[in-house]
Amino acid sequence: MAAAGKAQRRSPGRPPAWRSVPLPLLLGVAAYLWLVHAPLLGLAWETGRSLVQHPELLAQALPTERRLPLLGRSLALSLGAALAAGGIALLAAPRFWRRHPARLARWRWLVLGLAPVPAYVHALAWLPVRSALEARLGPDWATPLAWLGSGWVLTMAFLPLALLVTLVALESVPRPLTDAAAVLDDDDQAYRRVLVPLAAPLLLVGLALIFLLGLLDYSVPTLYQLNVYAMEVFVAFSQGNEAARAVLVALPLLLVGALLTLTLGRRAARIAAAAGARVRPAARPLRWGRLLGALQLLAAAVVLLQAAVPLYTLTRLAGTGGQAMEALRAGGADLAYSLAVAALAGGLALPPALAAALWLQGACAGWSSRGRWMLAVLPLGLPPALVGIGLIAVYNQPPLRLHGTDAMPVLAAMARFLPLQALLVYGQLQRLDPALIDAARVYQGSPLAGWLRIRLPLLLPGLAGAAALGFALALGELGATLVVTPAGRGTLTLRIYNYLHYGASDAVAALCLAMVALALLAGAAAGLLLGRGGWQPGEAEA
Amino acid sequence: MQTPAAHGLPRRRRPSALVLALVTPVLLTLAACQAAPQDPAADAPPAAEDAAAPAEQDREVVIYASVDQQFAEPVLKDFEADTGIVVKAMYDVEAAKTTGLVNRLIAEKDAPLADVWWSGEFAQTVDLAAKSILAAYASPNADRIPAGYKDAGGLWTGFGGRARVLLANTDLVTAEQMPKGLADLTGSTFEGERIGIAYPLFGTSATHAAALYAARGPEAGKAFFQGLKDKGLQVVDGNGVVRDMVVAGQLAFGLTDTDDACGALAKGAPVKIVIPDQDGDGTLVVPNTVALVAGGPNPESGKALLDHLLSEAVERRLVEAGWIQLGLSGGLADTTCGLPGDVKGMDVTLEQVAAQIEPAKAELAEIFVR
Repeated sequence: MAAAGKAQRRSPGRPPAWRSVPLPLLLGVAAYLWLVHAPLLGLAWETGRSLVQHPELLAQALPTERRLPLLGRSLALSLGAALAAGGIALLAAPRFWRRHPARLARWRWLVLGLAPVPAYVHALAWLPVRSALEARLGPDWATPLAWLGSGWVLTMAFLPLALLVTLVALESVPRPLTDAAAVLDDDDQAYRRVLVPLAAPLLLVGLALIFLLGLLDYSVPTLYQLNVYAMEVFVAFSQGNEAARAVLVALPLLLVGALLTLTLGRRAARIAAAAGARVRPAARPLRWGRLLGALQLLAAAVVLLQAAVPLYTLTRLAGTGGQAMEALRAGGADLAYSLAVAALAGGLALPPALAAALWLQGACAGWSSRGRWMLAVLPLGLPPALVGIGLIAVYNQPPLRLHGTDAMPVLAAMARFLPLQALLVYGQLQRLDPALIDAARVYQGSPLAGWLRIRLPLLLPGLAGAAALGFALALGELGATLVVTPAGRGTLTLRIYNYLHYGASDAVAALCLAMVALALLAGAAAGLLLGRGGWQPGEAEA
Repeated sequence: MQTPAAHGLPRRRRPSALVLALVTPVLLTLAACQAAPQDPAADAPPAAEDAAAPAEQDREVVIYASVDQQFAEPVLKDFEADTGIVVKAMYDVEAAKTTGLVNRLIAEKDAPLADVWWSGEFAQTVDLAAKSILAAYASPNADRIPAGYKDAGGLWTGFGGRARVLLANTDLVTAEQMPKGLADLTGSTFEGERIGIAYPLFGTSATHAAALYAARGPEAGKAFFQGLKDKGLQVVDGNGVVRDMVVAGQLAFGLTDTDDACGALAKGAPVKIVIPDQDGDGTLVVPNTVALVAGGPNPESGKALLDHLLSEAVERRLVEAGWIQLGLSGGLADTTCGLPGDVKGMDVTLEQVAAQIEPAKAELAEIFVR
């Protein structure tokens, strides 16, 4: 494997296949960078203005004796949750994978169903388990249980996303390499020594994104009596209501995100380039040994459990009160609005996500891979409420006076989730067969026809997955949406959190179930777009 | 080299899938447009006599409400029906620590989109006034409000109120063990982990903390909260969580708001509400506050809505709905959950409390966010 990797690395780089469309690509990259970075620019402007008036605020950016351990704890918790979610996903993914003959593979896109459910709902569903354990183990276990409980719930909340990223990462691996390894050794070894290392770049970037999302969540840890840094950002935000203060306190999160993406992005680009020369794959389903097979089944069971526990809790709660139906009826307009916002955010993001993915792949000369990856995903470290405030700073003044219009929640969702969508499309690009692209060049009537008839269809799985992911995540977005949604409009998530406050658990459950159903529909639609079992380049020949 | 056809590309299916992917968002957008708020003026009866008559072009009003939607929405719909003015509302949520809309107002300062601000408490409103985001308006319906609950310059007006109370689980707490005041948070025989408070950094809990700082002095205030920390009280994510944990028996008692406490009682939970320190310092009464946003697009409609919100009828309706439990005038109180009409409040002004918000939060973050 190492030798193969080196051989790949030594081979001259394939000229990018996309040079024929430089202008659309550049426009797409520019759109991506603007959409993702607009909040940061707005916040930088606002913070600069505040610092001119109150230079003493700069001290907020310095770590204090109290904040450092808080940051360390947050990093440990979100890293643990990301690794746990990634580990479970890595073990479970083969059971949901198209190359596995198991029936679960047909339903892999349904993992999106639980993606938009607020982490808080997972926390409520698992809280009785924590209470029972604490009652049995005694107060000495309170702190370890707080850690374990928070970590477990965050793991459960991010597992759908981790599984999705893992599936895409596995499918980005050139099959000839795994098939060659499988010839030399058994499938277990091929999986561990070839498939997973080759999928590692995308897996690592995916885990980094989940880690960053975990860093921003305070609702779960605080419910389990664990303070985290995201809480500190909110304290700063509410203290004097100055966005600049919150931005400065949030700087360590942004720096962590920058460092992480700098390291992983560079590594991902290098390994991806090494695996760049692909040929059409042959295919046979991998067959697992007993131990790995058992572990995979166990992990798949955990995946099903993470879906079953909240669904069971929600279903049970929805039937306990008379407010469930009333909540659904009253939430009709919000439901439609959420659908529209999520669909537009998921769909409109595709062109810039595609452009960014091509850019990350190296389609534009003159950019270092380090710089590309950092620019692409840096804003993920920004707390959602600050994303909203940054967007207002940009879009509430001429010539871009969009604040107060329905464009804002769409822009907010795109600002938050475009990097994740770009990552998925990037994964799809990695598995394209260059022979098909070359064939397209020869046979296409025009570059446009070549794009529409060959390249776009080849990218369809990644684009559909990215659209479905964007849809599902936008459906559950709260922090930024709250700040930018036009008055008179409302989303389902906003309504759910409103009901959460006054303990209408049946209404919350009914609305959450409606949201799960919508996300499941998105997953099913993605599955339909791809076809059951899915078409893969070269599979017809296998 | 092989042609695409040799790879088995299903040509007929992919265009339809692409069309589906492109058409779906458009259809959903159209669906949402269908679901856009209807203009109630079309169906509403002629404007009521008591409402102020805004200019003809001023037929809508935008309100930012840091108040639970399920309580505010019916009141606003009444206003729509009475006046024909379309109300466009935006509601805050506790999950965002009710900082979302305040910061939105601040961010929109140069080009305001809202006409009216309605908060479930007063500290943020006082801060907005200090930041010149509010405009003065002396509503005729504010005459009945005591001077201590409104701004001298007319920038904001309080109405109704919630009180800070202790909620105890009667299955766990005997009559002898029943807490009587805040001192019992540290002096009770119950272990700290059986007693709960919400983080004193957000919402009414933060306001209560600032009130204690104002009433007792910063040092005594800080010492009180350090005592809570030392005893090991459960510090949870919000007053609603305190209520839920008391109801579930995970806490023996805790400090919360009357709306949460009365809600639990109304649902038949085994709980008792104790208004703390009625023989001593009194408890904090947190009024709702309303204000006109400076430079808002519909000032006349905004004033009409303020008049509506400050009417006695709305105050009574909100008491009946369970959002507020006390009136600021006339002894109005939610008797269904055993509240007297003469709750003894703390001897501090709202401005004194608001002035302590920022320093109290800074110190309490040092104590509780570790």
